[in-house]
Amino acid sequence: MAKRVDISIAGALILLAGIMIYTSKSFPNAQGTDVGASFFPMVLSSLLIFLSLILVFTAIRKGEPNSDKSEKTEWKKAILAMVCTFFYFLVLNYIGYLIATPLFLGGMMWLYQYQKKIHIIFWSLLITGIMYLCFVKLLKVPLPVGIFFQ
Amino acid sequence: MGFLFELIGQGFLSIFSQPSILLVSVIAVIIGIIVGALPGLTATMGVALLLPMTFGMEPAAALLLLSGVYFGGIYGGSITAILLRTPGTPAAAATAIDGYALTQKGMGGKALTIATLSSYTGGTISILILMFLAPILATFALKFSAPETFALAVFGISIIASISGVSLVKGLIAGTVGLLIATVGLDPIQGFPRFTGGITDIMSGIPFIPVMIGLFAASEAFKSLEEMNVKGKVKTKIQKFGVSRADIKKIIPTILRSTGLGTFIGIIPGAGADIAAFVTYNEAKRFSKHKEEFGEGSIEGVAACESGANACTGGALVPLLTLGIPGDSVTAVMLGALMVQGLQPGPLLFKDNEALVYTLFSGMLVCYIIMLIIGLFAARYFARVVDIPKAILTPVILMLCVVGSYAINNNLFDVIIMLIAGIIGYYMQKFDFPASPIVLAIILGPMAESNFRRALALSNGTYEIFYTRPITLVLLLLSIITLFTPIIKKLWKTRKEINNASLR
Repeated sequence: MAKRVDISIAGALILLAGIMIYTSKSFPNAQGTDVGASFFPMVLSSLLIFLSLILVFTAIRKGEPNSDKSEKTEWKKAILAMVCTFFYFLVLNYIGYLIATPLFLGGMMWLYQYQKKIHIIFWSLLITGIMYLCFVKLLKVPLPVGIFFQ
Repeated sequence: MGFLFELIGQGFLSIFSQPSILLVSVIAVIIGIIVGALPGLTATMGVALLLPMTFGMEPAAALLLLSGVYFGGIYGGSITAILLRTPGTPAAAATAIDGYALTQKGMGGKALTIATLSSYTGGTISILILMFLAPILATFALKFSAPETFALAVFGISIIASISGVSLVKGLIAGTVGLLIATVGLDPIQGFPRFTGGITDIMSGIPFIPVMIGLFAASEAFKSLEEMNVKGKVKTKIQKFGVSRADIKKIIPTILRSTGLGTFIGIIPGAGADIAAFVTYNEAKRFSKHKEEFGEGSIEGVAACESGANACTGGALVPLLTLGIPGDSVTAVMLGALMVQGLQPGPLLFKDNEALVYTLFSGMLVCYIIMLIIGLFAARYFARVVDIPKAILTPVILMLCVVGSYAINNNLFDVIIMLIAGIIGYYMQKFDFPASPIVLAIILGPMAESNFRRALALSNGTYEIFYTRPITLVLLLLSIITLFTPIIKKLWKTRKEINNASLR
C-alpha cells in the first residue's frame, strides 16, 4: 500500500512538474542581465522530477511494510470532518456566521457522538457567541454576515 | 550599552502604561498553556489559530499575544507530561520521562514547581540573550545587499534537509513543491503573471497565512479525530509543591547549562524546542553526579529539558527578527504575524521600529513572569484540560480555521486555500511528507528568487558575484554543508546496512 502510494504521488508530481515546465516555456524570455521569469520554475520543476524519480526508486527497493488495516474506519472520520468543514464554508457566505456556526458546531458534535444533547446545544451557542464577541466587538474583525441578510 | 538599557527601560514603561497589553499577555499565556497542555495541540497550532485575531490590534499587543501563546505553549506541554505522562507537545516528551516518574513517587507537585522555575529561568535568560545579541547581528546584517540576502534565503531553505523527519527525499520534495508554489503570481522583476490561470486572487502569490493555518491547524484537527477515544486518566492527588534549598542548589548548574545550550539550539535554524529538550536532557545526564536517578525521577532531568525547551524560544527569535529567516514552524507563523502588521522582519526592523522592538522584548520578559506566577499557583489545574472531549474541541478548531482565514482579508477565497492546504496537509502526514518545509519554502522562495535576479543585475549578469563576496560565499558554503550533511549521513547509513546485510 505505502509503496504504491509513494509511486503514484511521485507520478503525479512528475506530471505537475511537466505541466509547469510546459507552461513556463511561454513566459517572457531573459532580457539583458536577467535570467527571466521562467528560469526558477524551470529549474525547480526539473529538480522536482529528479527527486520524484528518487522516491520511485527508493519505494521499489524498499519492499512492502506491514500496513494497518484497522485504520480504514478512522480515515472516514477525518474525511467526514473535511466534508463538514467544506459545507460550513459554503453556507457561511449565504446565511452568515451567526447561523452557520452553531449549526456546524452542533452538527459535528452530534456526528462525533457527543452524548448529551443539551450540552451540544449549550456549547455550540456559547462558543459561537464568545467568538463573535471576540472578533467583531473586541477586535473589530468583521465576520461574514450572509448574502441573505445584507 | 547605556543606550540599550534606556531603550529597554522605555519598553517596560510602555508595557506598564498600557493595561490592555498586560491583560492581553495574561490571556495569551493562559491560552498558550492550555494549548500546550492539550495533547495533539502544539504551540505552532495555537499561534496559527490566533494569528487572524491580531489583525485589528496594535503591533505590540498583537505580537505579544502570539509570543505569550508561543511561550505558554512550550511550557504547557510539561504539565500533562508530568502529571499524566501524555506530553502535550513533542518537546515535553523528554520531560515525561523523569517528570512522570516523580509523580508516581508522589512528588508530582515538586516536579511541576521545578518545571515551572526551570522554564521561567531558561526562557527569561534566552530573551535577555536575544536582547543583547539581536541588535549586534542586525547592525551586521544591515550591510547585506542582494547577493547576501539571496545566500541567506538559500541557507534558510537548505535547512529543509534537517527538518524533513522520517524520509529525507520526501522532505526535499515538500520543500521543492513549496518553492514552486512560491513562484505562483507576478514574477518579481518582469512582473509577468506566472501560473495564475487568470485568478486575480493569486496574482500577488498564493497567500501563505491561510496555507499555514491549513497545514498546521486544520490538518492536525482532521488527524486528531482518528484518535477520538484515547484516554488515560490518572487521578492522584497532587500535593507537596515545595522545593528545598538543596534541590535548588542541585539544579542551578543544570538549568544554566541547559539554558545556554537551548538558546544556541534555538538560534540554529531548523532545530526547535523538541530537539533542545532531548539534547539538554542527555547533556544533563552526562554531567550529573546522580546519573542513576535519570529515568527514575530525577529533578535534574526535568529541569534540563524544561529550561532547554524554553530557552529555545528566545534563541529562535534571533534569526527571525534580525535576518527575517524563520528557523522552525512557530517562528514561520510569527513571521506571518509581523508581515500582517506591516513589519518586515530583518535588520531594518531594528532601525525603523526600534521602540517597538524593545517594547516587544520587555513584553516577552513580562510574559515569562506571568507564566511563572500562573505556573506556580495554578499549573495543576491545567492538567484538567485533557478532559475536554475531542468531539467539542475539534469542531471549534475547524471553525476557528475557517473564520480566521476569512478574517485575514474578508475574503472567502482564502478559506478555500486554507481548506485545500488542510486536506493536503492531512494526507501529507499520512504518507510521511513533512509540512514545515513547504511553509519555509513559500516564505523564503520569493526572497531567494528576487535577490538572485537583483544580484545578477548588479553584477551585469556574471555569476562571479556569488563567490567573490566573502559573506555570500560563506553563507552559500554553509548551505551546502547544511543540505548535504543529512544526505551523506543517510547514504552512509544505507551503505552500512547493505554491507551488514551482505555479510550475514
